[in-house]
Amino acid sequence: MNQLRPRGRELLEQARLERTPDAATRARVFEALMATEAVMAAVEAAANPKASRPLVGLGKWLLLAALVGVLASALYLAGHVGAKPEPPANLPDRPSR
Amino acid sequence: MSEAPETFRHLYNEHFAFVWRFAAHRGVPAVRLEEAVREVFVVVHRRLADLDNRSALRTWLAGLTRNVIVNHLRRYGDEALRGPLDGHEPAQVSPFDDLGPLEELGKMSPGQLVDVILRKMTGRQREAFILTEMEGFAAPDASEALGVNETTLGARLSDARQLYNSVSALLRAERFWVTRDGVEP
Repeated sequence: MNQLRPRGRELLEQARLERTPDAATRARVFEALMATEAVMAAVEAAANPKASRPLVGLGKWLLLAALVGVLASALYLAGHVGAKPEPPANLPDRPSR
Repeated sequence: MSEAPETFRHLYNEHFAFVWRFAAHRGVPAVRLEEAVREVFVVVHRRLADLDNRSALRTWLAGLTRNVIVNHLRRYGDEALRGPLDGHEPAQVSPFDDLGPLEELGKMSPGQLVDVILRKMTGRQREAFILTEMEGFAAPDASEALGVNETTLGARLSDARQLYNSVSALLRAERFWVTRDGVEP
């Protein structure tokens, strides 16, 4: 594979140094970053974990029970919808005229 | 305002310069550099909890930065700044076209000269070149960050190096003549 020439590499290193931001820029961008809505929301969520905590313990079991209930109801309905009711066994014959 | 989590602050301090340089060399104009870098770190902040392997942090960050920057450039329609024939390989344009007026070359800083050369590369060549040659990524890490295999990365890098050597030699020669003829004060 071809390689960079020494003079070219030197130019690249100078360009890299030129494009490296200083500490003041780093601090300024960080302040602006912390002021953005998305980051503030995430920071507050991290500071107050109860508000965004996933379901645990009882909540998880209740959700599971509800899902099982819905599934059982769906299966029941699928098995019974569209089935004709059976006629009564002993209907009296209609009297003929 | 709450304090930012310490891990995020540490990551920011450690990698801010890298993200800034990557965005600048990838073609984000200076006027929007801060905005693009902030976008990267907003995504980093959101996804930091998903990162379980700290040793691969720099690779993860490079991939994320690359994606955010490409979306940023696309959103603002910076076609010219992404390099010629972006997304098409290999570039069919001559590296010696449109270098600009000779007087301008004489006044350019190293960073501006490198930008002239980087603009001759396709976006994909440029990313491979920045990560490996400018930021010192090993080939496996660069290929993982860019989502390509090492063979593809090697091909892009080879084209990019060839182009860089050709154009930088030409620029040096042009600058020599410009200086010699007294165009540059």
